[in-house]
Parts: sequence; structure tokens; C-alpha cells
Amino acid sequence: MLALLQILLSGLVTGSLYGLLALGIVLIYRTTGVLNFAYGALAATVTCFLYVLLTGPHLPFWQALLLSLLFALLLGAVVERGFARPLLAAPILTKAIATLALALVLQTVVQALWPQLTSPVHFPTPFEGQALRLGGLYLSLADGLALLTTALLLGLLQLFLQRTRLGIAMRATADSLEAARLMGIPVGLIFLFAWMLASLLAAIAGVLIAARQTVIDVQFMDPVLLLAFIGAVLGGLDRLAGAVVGGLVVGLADNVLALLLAGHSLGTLDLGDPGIRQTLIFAGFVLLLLLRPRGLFGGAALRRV
Amino acid sequence: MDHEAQATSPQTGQARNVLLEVRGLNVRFGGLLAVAGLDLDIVEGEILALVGPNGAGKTTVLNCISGFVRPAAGSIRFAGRDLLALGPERRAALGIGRTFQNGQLFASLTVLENLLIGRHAHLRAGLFQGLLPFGPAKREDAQARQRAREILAWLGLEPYANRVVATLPAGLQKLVGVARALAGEPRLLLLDEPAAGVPMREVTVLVEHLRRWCTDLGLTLLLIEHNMHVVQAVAQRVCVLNYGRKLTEGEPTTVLREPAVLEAYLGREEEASPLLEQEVSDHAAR
Ligand SMILES: Nc1ncnc2c1ncn2[C@@H]1O[C@H](COP(=O)(O)OP(=O)(O)O)[C@@H](O)[C@H]1O
Ligand SMILES: [Mg+2]
Repeated sequence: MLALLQILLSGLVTGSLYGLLALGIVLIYRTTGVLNFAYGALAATVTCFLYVLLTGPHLPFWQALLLSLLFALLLGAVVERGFARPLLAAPILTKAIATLALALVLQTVVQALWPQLTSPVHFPTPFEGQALRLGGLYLSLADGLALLTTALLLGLLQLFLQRTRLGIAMRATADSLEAARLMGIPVGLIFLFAWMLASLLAAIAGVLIAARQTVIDVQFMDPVLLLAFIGAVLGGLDRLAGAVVGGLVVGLADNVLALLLAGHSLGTLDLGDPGIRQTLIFAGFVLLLLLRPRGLFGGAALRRV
Repeated sequence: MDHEAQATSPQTGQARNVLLEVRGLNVRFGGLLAVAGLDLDIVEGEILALVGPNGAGKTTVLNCISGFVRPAAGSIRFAGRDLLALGPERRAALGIGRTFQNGQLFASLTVLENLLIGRHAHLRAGLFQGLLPFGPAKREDAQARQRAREILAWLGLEPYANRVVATLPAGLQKLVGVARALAGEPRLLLLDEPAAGVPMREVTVLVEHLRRWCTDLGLTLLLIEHNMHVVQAVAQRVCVLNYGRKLTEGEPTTVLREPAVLEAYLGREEEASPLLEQEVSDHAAR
């Protein structure tokens, strides 16, 4: 029983991180119609930047983190102006494929600037090795922070989108660009802000994941992004709360499968291998999409909203 | 009589104040002349209906006025100002409100939020100032909500204020589109087929509304409408377009009986509205 609870708890942690990433993916998709496959690379770029600040000039962690988050905002703005804006009117598939190129560019730049990140390196944080005990359950400090941060960000984002005129204007722009523009909403500013916000969310998720894994390289976000994308699509791609729930479902599935498959093998195939788990999740996802093309919660079909 | 005099003759002799003046409007889409040499005056406070078969160019005229389509030639003046040099947002801010044929509502927002965005041009504090939990932007937001609720109450939409627009029936969505445009407090309101998709019993309600807006708000209406029942009930004047040209213009009862108008509709059998035929034959019988 305790073992199952422990698995569910770590499922909740991975799930909330997928959810956080899915949130940014949906935010970008909703407001600018870009299926952003560079989202993981954005997160990795900022996390690598933080790593360099921590290991190069040996800045204190929180100071370096603050600088990295500012860098994330800047990176989001640069990507919006230099990449997303020129492609605004392009077909959705063109934009999605362009983000793959963007991811490649970001990774190449990071590798060129900081070659040490080509291979796995240790990512130092103040939380490493610390843990909380909740009854019989074990929760590492990094995991606890991940849960707390995700819950907090989700709450703040909801408040922002529901209660502030910028949030309402952002949702309006996502629904009808033409009408929003006509009513005097500065849609260019809204796009810029959406990318900056999403980049900030990516950075926070990247740092939390790095703190959890304690080892990173320039591509450390790639496997995570795939699962986060599955979460986003499960959630219907057009609602933020759905993204988080989708992320949680994927996280829980990942951990429960790990428990079920550990130690089993099929012939020479080790079923405990993480690759098998991902394959299974992906297969389940494709099956689910066949049954419910609009994600778990129905809603709008894939479209530029 | 020269061309210019003819175009304005129906109003001569009346005390009138032309709010919108369209002259020699030409719109091209590639090889297609969608609007050809259109002259049109809209007098302050009147309801003018723009009718004609599908593809006649009605929506295109509306788009020229609101700034979404750039004409190849001609001029449009609103309250004495040249509009063509201005973008859509500037025109909206000057007092030209519109609805869209396909709604273009903010479907995932609540009715109230749609109206708040509709009022956006009237807000003085910026979007980022609105992030603060206090200060002038918050006071302004409260006022905007108050005003939006008044408009909703006035349209009988109050019970739906907090409903997400996508969950409302088509007829109510149409009304929300109008409410959103009204929230911007326009002088001239452009309505593109407000009765399309609205059930017949709600159309009478709509007609009542249209009349009331003009008298109570001092609004001027340019209305594209296929439903001749609505046109006859609300419009003081009708302008009939066919293949981008003005076929005729005048009082609804006389204009809709003209053989050329009948032919324009009946000539395109599949698009003719059965209601029109019935209405028109009703009139012919009288
Ligand atoms: N953006 C556009 N590009 C090309 N052709 C257009 C465009 N908008 C309208 N048209 C064409 O112009 C003509 C008039 O269209 P429209 O103004 O929508 O007619 P109506 O509203 O009277 O039905 C039609 O033949 C239509 O196909
Ligand atoms: Mg039309």
C-alpha cells in the first residue's frame, strides 16, 4: 500500500512537471497558433545558462536563478520577434516544422558556446540530497518544490487570465485575432507577452527537472518534451487546465508502468527499461487519439484558434 | 440630371446630416470587380438596409467601411473625415462599430468579458497597469463592468453575463455580437446579417431591438440582411446591390417591388430567399 502511494506521489511530481510544460505549449498554441516543438530546447537553453552561471562565475544559486529567469524572458522576446512574428500567417504545419529547426539552432548555439554541456554534467542545487518525510512517504526537496511551484504557477496563471485585463485580452486574441485587433487590443504586444511568459514557464520547468535529475546536458529536455506534448494533446490543446490534467495523467501512467514492469522481461527484452515505458505510453496515446481525436475532454478540434 | 445629383436626390429637401458618404467605390479581387462605382449616403439616425443576392458585394462594402478591405478607387468619409487613410482600429475608435457575418466572437470568453474587450478602446489605463491589484486601472475596470452590465440588462442578456459564449445558442450569440459592438459606443453600427440563423420567433425580438437602438441611443445603422421581413420592418431606406453595382435605392416597399430587383434575386434561383419571393408577391398583390 505504502509502495503504491509512493509511486503515486512520484507520479504526481513528474506529472506536474509535464503539466507545467504542457501549460506553456498550450499557451503558445492558443495565442499564436504555433505547435512549439522547440519548447524543450528553450527550457534546456535557459537551464544550461543557469548551469554556466553556477559553475563559471560561481554565483549564489538564487541570484543565478533570477538572472536566468530574466534571460528566459529575453529569449522568449527574441524568439517571438525574430522567429514567430515573421511566420504568423504561415500554415500551422509550416510553423510546427519551423520550430524543429529552431530547436536545432538553439541546441547548436548552446553547444558552440558551452561545449562542456555536450556530455552529461552535474547540475548543482542547494536542494540536492535533502528530503521531506510525510508519514511513511519520502519526498525529495526538489520534488516537493516542483509540486509547490507548479501548483502556485497554475493558480497565478488562472488569476491572471481570468481577472486582469491583459489576461482577458490574451484569451480574446486567442479566440479571434481579427476582432481583438479591431477593438484596439495591441495584438503584437500580446504575442510578445505570450512568448515571454511561456519561455519563463519553460525555464522554471527546466530548472525543476534539472534539480530533480541532478545531471543535465544540452538535450536533457528532449524525452521530457515528448511526454509533455502527449499531456498537452490529451488535455485537448486548447485549455490550460486540460494541459495540467493531461500532464498529470502521463506522469502517473509513467510511474505506475514503471512499478508494474520493473523486473519483468519478455524473452531477452527487459520490460523495466524506460524506453519500453515510453513506447507503451506513446502507443496508448495513439490509441486514445483514435478513440477521442479531441483529447480526453472533448472541446475544439485542432485548429488555429 | 448628372450622376452626382441622382445619387443624392432621394434625400434632397430634407433636413439631413450625412454621417457616412461613399463615393465611386471600386473593389477588385484579382480580375473580379466586387464593388463597381458605388455611391452611398447614410444619414445620421437612419436605418439603411443593404440587400442583394449572395456575392453581390455587400460584405465587401462593409469591410471597406470598417477598414478590412482596401478599395481600388473611391472615397469614404465619416463625419467629415476621410476614412481610407485610417486603419480598422482607428475607425473603430472614431465610432464605427461592426459585427461579423461569422460572428468572430471571443467564444471561450464569457458574455461579460466579450463586452469588456468591446469597450477596450475607451480604457485609458494600459494593459500592464491592469496587472496591479489596485490603482486607476482597477477603478476603470469596475466602471467598464458596470457599463457592460447595463448594456446586457438593456438587451435582456443579463442572465447570460457569466456564460461562456460558445455554450449559447446561435441566436443569443448573434445578440452578444451586437452587445459587444454596442459596448464600444459606436455612432455608426454595421451589422452583417444579424438575423441569419436566428429562429423566426427571435427575429421579431431582434427587430424590436434594432428599432430601439436607433431611437434610444441615437445610433445609425447600416444593415446587411437577407430576411426581407426584417428589412421591411426596420429599414427606412434600402439599397439593392447586384454584381457590385447599385441596382436601385429608396423606400423598402417600393424598391423591393421593382422588376429589376425581383429579377436579380430570381435570376439566381438557388440563392433566392423563399421569404423574399413570398414577401414580394404579397406586395404585388396589394
Ligand atoms: N477576400 C476576398 N478575396 C477574393 N474574392 C473575394 C473576397 N471577398 C469577397 N470576394 C468575392 O467578392 C464578391 C462579393 O463578395 P461579398 O462581398 O462577400 O458578397 P455578399 O456579402 O454580398 O454575399 C464575391 O464574388 C466573393 O467571392
Ligand atoms: Mg456577405
